[in-house]
Amino acid sequence: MTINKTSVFYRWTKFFVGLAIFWSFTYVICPAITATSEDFTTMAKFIDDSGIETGEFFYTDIEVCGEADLGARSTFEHMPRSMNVAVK
Amino acid sequence: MAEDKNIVVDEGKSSISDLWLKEDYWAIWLGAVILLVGSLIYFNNAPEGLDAKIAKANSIMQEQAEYAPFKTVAYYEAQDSKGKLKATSSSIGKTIKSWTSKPKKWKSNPLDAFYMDQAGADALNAKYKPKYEAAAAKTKAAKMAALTAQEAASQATFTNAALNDEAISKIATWRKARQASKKAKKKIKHKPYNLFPSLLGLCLVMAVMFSLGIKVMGKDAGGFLKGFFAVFAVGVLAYLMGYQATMKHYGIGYAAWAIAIGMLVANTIGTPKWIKPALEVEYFIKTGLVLLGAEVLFSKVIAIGVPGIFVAWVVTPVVLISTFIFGQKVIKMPSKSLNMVISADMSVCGTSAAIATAAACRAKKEELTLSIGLSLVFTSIMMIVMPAVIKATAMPHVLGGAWMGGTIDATGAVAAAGAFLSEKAMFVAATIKMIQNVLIGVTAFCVAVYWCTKVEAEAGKKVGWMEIWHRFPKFVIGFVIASVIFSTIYTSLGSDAGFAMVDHGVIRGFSKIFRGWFFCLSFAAIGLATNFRELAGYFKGGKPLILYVCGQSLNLMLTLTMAYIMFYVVFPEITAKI
Repeated sequence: MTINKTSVFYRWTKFFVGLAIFWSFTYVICPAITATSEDFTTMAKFIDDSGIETGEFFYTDIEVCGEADLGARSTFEHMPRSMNVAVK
Repeated sequence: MAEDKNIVVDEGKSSISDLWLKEDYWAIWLGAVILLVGSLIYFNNAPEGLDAKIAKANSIMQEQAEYAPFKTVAYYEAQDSKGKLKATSSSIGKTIKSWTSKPKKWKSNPLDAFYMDQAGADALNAKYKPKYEAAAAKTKAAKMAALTAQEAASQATFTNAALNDEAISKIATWRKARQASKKAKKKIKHKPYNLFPSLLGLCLVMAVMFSLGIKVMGKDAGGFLKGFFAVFAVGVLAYLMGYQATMKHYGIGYAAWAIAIGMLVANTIGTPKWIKPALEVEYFIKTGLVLLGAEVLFSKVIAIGVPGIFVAWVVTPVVLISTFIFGQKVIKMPSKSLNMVISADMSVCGTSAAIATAAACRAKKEELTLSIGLSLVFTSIMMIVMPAVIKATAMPHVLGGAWMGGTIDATGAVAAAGAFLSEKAMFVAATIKMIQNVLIGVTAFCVAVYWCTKVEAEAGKKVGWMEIWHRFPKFVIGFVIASVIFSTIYTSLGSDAGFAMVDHGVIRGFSKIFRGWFFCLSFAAIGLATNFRELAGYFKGGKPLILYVCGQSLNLMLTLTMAYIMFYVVFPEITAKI
């Protein structure tokens, strides 16, 4: 992409304004949104504590998915007996 | 012609030279080499006594399953011992991990993502040690309480429902405490790190790998190499921002940041000319997708049994097809490919489905960007709102987990939302999403076939098999073959050994590292090549948003209904054991 007919100063000014927007999004806007609701703050604290990789998008990127897989598989491969079956 | 450059696929003819002149085939070759190297490394470094340890754990679990009508403490301990068997835990696995590490999590100082000295690591370990000790003590006490309650239930030969429920509750408390203790333990194991040399090494490896293909394809390899370092730098910045603590709260990961940072550069100072030869979006995406194929393991589909299959494999295609038809007939989306990418993104599993479908249906870069943006916004909202709604309505956690797993787009957000409710909700949510992840392969393949035979065919003209072959995006074949080979290996090893050697070996220990970087590079390249005004044009009239909202509303209703029917009406006995 080329941006013609604009001065170098103008382009760099826009760039730094963009950086300032990113900065305020990360350090001002998002924390402010989190602070507006108890649900948000509780969730944020939980994500910090659990270390779950919320930004990842495939199951292999997320450690707890491996645990979930193991747990689900165990349930079906070694399903505990029914309540009404006598103990051996 | 300029517009054609934005689309990913071959012309309608084929020749033998395509094997070395087309990026689709290069994506397959590069993907195959990475998977082969990963296989050689990990299949020769299996955990010691793997089979014996699995057999012992399974024997205990089977014995306990027959002994009690619920998962006992011994059952869980045997399950946990299997979970520790990972090829990635071998010394070579740890070495690979340290040399391919992405920027670490940080809060206020970005340098923390790349560098930490011994003093810094010691200070963090000392800070978290009291918390870990408290968590460990709590876990020990919870385990004792669980064992006592379990013994009481056993004394009544498990016929007293109240005692059984008490044991189940105490065991669940122990599991929760154990999970917290495990997380706390990680925080006292900080080690010093310096990621600058390893990132440089990784950049060089990828630069050489991709430039080889660029050279053989007859493109400007020197120009590519020069620009590649800049694209990689944007990728590193994207990972850096994606691992910032506040961004993790909202599930805003590297994909969004790579596009945003790239677009900032492109639309302000302008992407320098010397970077442009490295903006090989399709080359990066297709190679990443071939590697993703190895992660699409069909054995995972049966993980949560019939109820999960119905929720993930019946609702998802119904929503996908309905949303696509709705977009064409009712909203009258001007672009079929945008309609398809948004439909797949929203109904299957967010970004990964969007990437695969976009490549399969020749979507434009802007269309992929728009779909990912929509998915990101709704994922952030749903990740926070859905657990709150489930809590407020006292919805059972298995139902809530299935609902979230089937509807929230990104897998990471699904895991976080599920775990926020309970371990049970997380297990169900993550497993449903995992089954949906596997659907990517089928979706990409079907979309590619549909596009070749219907969308791109002239009206009233029947398309022959050779014509389909000419038009078919060949990287999809690499994707499917990788999936079939690794699914077969996984199945033939058995699910436990497959878990240790394939899932937690070749894939998590090698191929997914490269796949993540390749997607990151492609997003950075997309951002660096995207004009904001052109992107805004695709959003005209708000049709993409309307499509997403309508499709997601249908998805929410159908998934909840299907999950309720499957988990509480048809298979309540399975639900009780989860």
